[in-house]
This record gives sequence, C-alpha cells and structure tokens, in this order.
Amino acid sequence: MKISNSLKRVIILELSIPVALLILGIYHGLMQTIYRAGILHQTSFLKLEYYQGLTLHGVINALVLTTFFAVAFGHATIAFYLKKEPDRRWTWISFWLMVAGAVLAAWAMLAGKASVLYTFYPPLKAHPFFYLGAALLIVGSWIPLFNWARIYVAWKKDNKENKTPLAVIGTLVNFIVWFVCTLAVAYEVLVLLLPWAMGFTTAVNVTLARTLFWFFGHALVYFWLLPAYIMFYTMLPKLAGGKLYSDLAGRIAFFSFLIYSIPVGVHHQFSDPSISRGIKFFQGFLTYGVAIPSFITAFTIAASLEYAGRQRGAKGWFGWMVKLPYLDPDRYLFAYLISGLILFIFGGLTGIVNASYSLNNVVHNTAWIPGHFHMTVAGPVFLAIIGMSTYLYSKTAGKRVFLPKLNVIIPYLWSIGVLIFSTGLMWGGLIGEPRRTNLGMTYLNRDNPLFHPEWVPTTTLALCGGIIMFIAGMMFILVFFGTLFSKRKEEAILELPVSEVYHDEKRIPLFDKFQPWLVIMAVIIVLAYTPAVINATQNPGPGAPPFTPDSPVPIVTEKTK
Amino acid sequence: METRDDEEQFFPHGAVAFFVLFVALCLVIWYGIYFLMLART
Amino acid sequence: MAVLDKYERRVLISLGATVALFIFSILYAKGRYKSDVPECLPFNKAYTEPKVNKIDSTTYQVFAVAQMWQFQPAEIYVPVGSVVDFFLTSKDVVHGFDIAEKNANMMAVYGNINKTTVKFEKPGVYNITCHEYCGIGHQNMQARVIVNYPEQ
Repeated sequence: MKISNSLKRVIILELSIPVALLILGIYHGLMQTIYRAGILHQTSFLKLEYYQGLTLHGVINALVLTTFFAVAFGHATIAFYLKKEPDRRWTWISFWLMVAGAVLAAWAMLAGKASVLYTFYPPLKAHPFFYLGAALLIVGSWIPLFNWARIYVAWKKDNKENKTPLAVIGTLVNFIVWFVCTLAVAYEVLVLLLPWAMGFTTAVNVTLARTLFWFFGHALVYFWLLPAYIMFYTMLPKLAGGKLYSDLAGRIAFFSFLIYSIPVGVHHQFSDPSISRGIKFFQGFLTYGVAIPSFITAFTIAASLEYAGRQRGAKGWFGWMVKLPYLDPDRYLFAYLISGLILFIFGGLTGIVNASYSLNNVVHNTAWIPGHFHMTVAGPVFLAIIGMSTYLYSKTAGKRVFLPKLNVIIPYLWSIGVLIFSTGLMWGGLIGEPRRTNLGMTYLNRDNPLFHPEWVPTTTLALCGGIIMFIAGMMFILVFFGTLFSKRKEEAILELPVSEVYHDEKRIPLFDKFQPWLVIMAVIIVLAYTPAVINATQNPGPGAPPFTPDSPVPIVTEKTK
Repeated sequence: METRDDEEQFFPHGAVAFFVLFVALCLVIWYGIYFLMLART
Repeated sequence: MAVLDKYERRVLISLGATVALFIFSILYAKGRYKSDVPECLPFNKAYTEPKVNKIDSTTYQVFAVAQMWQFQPAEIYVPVGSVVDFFLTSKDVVHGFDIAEKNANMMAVYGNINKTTVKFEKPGVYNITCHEYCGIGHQNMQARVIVNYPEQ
C-alpha cells in the first residue's frame, strides 16, 4: 500500500527516535551488570550515577521506546488493514506531544534531578519536568486511539458482514487498555505528585499513589506485549510458511486482555501495607485470568508452526520444530518472533509464580523480578519491537536491510544473552539478592563488611549475559542505522506479512465487537479496585513530605513551612 | 475458505505434545518455588 | 464455545485445572503453615518508635522503623524457637524489608504499618535487607536478627 509522505515521515520518526535513545538505554543495562558484579565499586562512572542510569534505562527502554513503537505500529496496522490513513494533523500533534514529553523527562534525568527510577514512588521526589514530561508523553499517545476508533467505526458501516481484521482488534484493544489504565497514572502524576513536587501541597498519600501507579503499571506490560501478540497471530504463521491455526483463538486472547489487563495491578502490591489480604487474593486470582491468552497463544502458535513444518515435510511429534526458517535472512522477522516466543515460555511461567499470592514472599523485589521481566519485556517485546522497526522502516523508506545475514542472527544472540542473564538474576533472587541496588559498593565489595560471597556467581552470570545482550543490541543499532543511512533501492510502501487462516471460523458477532467486552471490563475494574482505593485512603495515617535521593531531611519550602 | 481437498486433514499432535511439556514446565517451576516457600516457613 | 476448535477448548480446560491446583495449594499453605502476604493494619503512631517487646520467653514483638539508610533496631536478639511479630513503618521514603530465608518480605511506607510473623527455629544470623531503592545510601541498608540459644 502506498502511503502519504506525511504518514511515512511520522512512522519513520516514531521508530527511529527511540532506537537512537536505545543506545543509551542499552549502555546503562550493561553498566548495571558491571556495577552489580562488583567490577566497579563506585557510585558513578563517566559522570552517570548508578541510580540515575537505572532511571534512564527503565524510562527509555520501558516507557519511551515501547510507547513510540506502539503508536507507530498502531498507525501501520490501522492504515494497512482498514486502508485509510489516520488524520494528518492529529498524528503530528500526537507525535510532538510525545517528543516534548520525552525531552522534558530526559532533561530532568540527565541533569540528575530525577533519579527516582521509572516507577517514581513518592515520597522520593523528582524535578517537576520529569512528571510533566511523563504526562505529555502519555497524553500524546492517547490521541491516535480516538482517530483510529473513528476510522474503524466508519469501516464497520461498510463492512457489516466482514470480520474485523485480527490485527485491528489487537491494536484497538491495546490502546483502549492503555487509555483506561493511564488515566490513573495521569491522575497520580498531575494531581498528587506535581503540585507536591512544586511545593503547593505538603503531604502525599503514598499508598494511594502506589495503588494508582499499579492500576497503570500492570496493564502497561500488556501495552508492551500486544504488538508482539499481533505479530505472532497475524504474521508469524505466514513467515513460517504456514497458516494461523485458529483466528477465533486470537480473538479470545485479545478480548481476555481487554478485561483482565487492568484489574490485577494489586499483585504488584502484595507486600504493601494498608491493602487488605482479601483484595490481594482476589486480584491474584484475576491475574490467572490473564494467563488465558498466554496459554491459548502457546498452543495456537505451536499448532500454526507445526502446520508450517508439516508443509515442509516434517514428521513425528517434534520434527516440525526443526523445519522452520530460523536463519532465512529474507524472513528475518521469523527469527525475531520465534526467539521472543521461546524466551516468553520462561518469562510467562515465572510471571505466574509472581502472581501467586504468598509465593510472592519468596521473590518480591529480589533479583528474581528483573530476571523474570527480562524474559518478557526484554524478550518477545523487545525483539518484536526491534525486528519490526527494521522491517517497517525498510519498507516505508524503500530501503534494503543493511547486513541481512547479521540481522537474522541478532535475535538468537540476544536470547542466549537473556537466558544466561536471567538465570543469574533468578538464582541470585532466590538467595536474597536485592534488585535496584548498586551491589558493587557494598554487597559485592570484598573489602566491605556487608560482602556476600554467595552473590558472586549469580552476578557474574548476569554480567556474562549482559555482555552478550549488549553486543547483540549494538549489532541491531548497526543494522538499523546502516539501513537508515543507505540509499533507497526499493519502492517505498507500507506492507505487513499477512497470514491466512487454517480453520476459517464463521464470524461470531460476540468476538467481533467491543461493547460487551468494554462493559465486562468496567464491571471487573470497579469490583477489583473500589475496595483497594478505599483501603488506600482509609488505612494510612499522615501523608509524606518530599525527599530527594541524597538526603534524609525532607524538603520544606517557604510555601510549606 | 475451505481447507483444500489435496491437503491432508491436519491434527496438531505436535502442538499438543509441546503444550503438555509446557504445562509440565509450568508445574515444575511453580512447585519449585512453592516448596521453597514451605521450607522457609 | 461450541464453535471453538476442540484442541483449543482443551487448552482452556487445562488452564482451569492448573489454576485450581495452584489456588488449592496456596490455600493449603495458608491454612496449614500460615503462609500469607503481610497483614493489613490501620495506622497507629505507637508503631513509629523502634522497639523490641518481649511478650514471653518465646514471643516477641519488633517495631521496626526503616529510614534513610538504616533499620532501627539494627540488631535484634531473640532465642531459638521464638515467634516474632514484625511491625514495620518508614520515617521517610519507601524501603523494603526482606529476611530472605524466612519469607518475610514487606514494604515500609510512611504513614502505614505492615506486619508479618516469623518463627525462628534455627540459630543463626538472619539479614534484613532493604530491597527497594531509597536514595544514594540504599546499598548500605541491612540489619540483623541474631537467633541464639537462651543463656542457661
């Protein structure tokens, strides 16, 4: 499909800007493994302080990269499948708001005034620009949903009997969940934190802030994941040379995400005070609901790949696994998606552990947690983002991929790195190694009384994995920018691989419309979160004054004295 | 779209085998942590 | 669901069975071993002063206060076999409180009280580690529970 220069430009910018930022984001990933293994016993390196770098790592990789990509990929799926481009003016307004937000937040972090990590829990306070930047990034990302929804409604009028394309269901579900969950964090940031950070209010209810954050924070991971799911269902079977085993399974998966993504956030607060055990248990139970899409996907994609393998002559129960185009440079997206799926097996299953109520006591805030999430966000999410960024860029810009043979091995090298890295972290976590800590200063410093020798092998493993990941990441930067700086050699088009379906199930209206699911989503959210918010407002005592990371003395200004 | 007559009927036995192993792995990981938790009470 | 492929239906059933198994196991651990998430208490100023209360020879209460960048009390002595209720709060930012070998894993939050109970059956030194970023001194923040046999 040929697209306008305007859409092409906005997509290319939304893909390239975060990839450029990724250089810094991945650099500080590597740096952390170096500090944590005790190679460095310092608070900073090359003028970047450990916790400042950790904040940059989380914000760039988990908020900026993922949001920009989701918007760009959303524009692409809507335009490609519904054959209508999003409104020009609003796509650019959205873009500039997101860029302005990212710039403000980046300034605050780089200036060392926002070393609060990507969760920015109060009473740790960041510079007001950090909060403002976050708000602008989020508001900018809301805009496309309304535009796409209007395009969809118009398409439906002309296509009453046709099934909505699965990729469109995925994109709309993703952004509906995003819009609803970000309302809570926007409230937290703009109403609770920004006035407090600027000194207009003196105390903040920390538990309420955390509860609002996690209303957002869990659904956030599905916002990251759903673009990859869209690729697994609508592209991977085709890339493998097969067909999607069941389109209906994909719809069940996406609508399950719509209803279960948000009302489970309290499972990040199992260790928090003031939220009742009953609500924690209920939301833990609901979290098992969000395992539905993952289990369905595991089977459906395996079946689709098995079909592909059998088309190529595979025999027996597992022969199909061998007969897939793992190293075909012309189908490199297959490599990125399949390695993500392999990592996701471990990432998803460890996630189920984390959601399991009392089991959380074993793992909460230990290194197990980043071990888990590097097999999800740094697994299928990251690989889908970088693979598709190269793909979408090269197609819309009409360029050939730079170093295609290198491009196809990057996901495998990355995955080996992640497996080693996460093994080290999870092992360490189970023996008490904390996350979010500059271990090199004390716990991994032989000259320090707090030295913990049992964390040496675990952090060394993480270091080895981190180095491999860093190399793979830099290879990707090379391939992406090599492609970017190359000359146009192909027709510039918007194109996505499209899978055929094996079981072409008849259109089922329930799985082809949003209204009933939106109602169920709203009901479950109200049931799950009303008690939690009541707990968070009634049980705590006084609110907290602001603190900066460098001092136990709270900030008291003229206004607040 | 019907499955073509010249395609054999496809039963995803390999996917079922994979899925069984996947659930088994799920149980191994989960109960690993569960029994670790019980040992620490 | 009749129109859903029969294998997909079985996938959903296996998930249901697995989830039921997990919920049963969690409830069993809760009933038999008291394995649970921290207890929810409304705020009370009394818990904001660090303290160790001996209720009787095998029952203790610790009012643990986390702050930038230490726990108070920093060293807690209890005899082997004692049951300790830890009440936790923070004087400033959010801190973590983790006794890894005993499933005691809580967040310390200003204006909030958290509670968990630990039975120390074996002697030894148990580290309490802060595992939530709390500023530049976070990696220095560790306290100890020292469990020993009582003096004869």
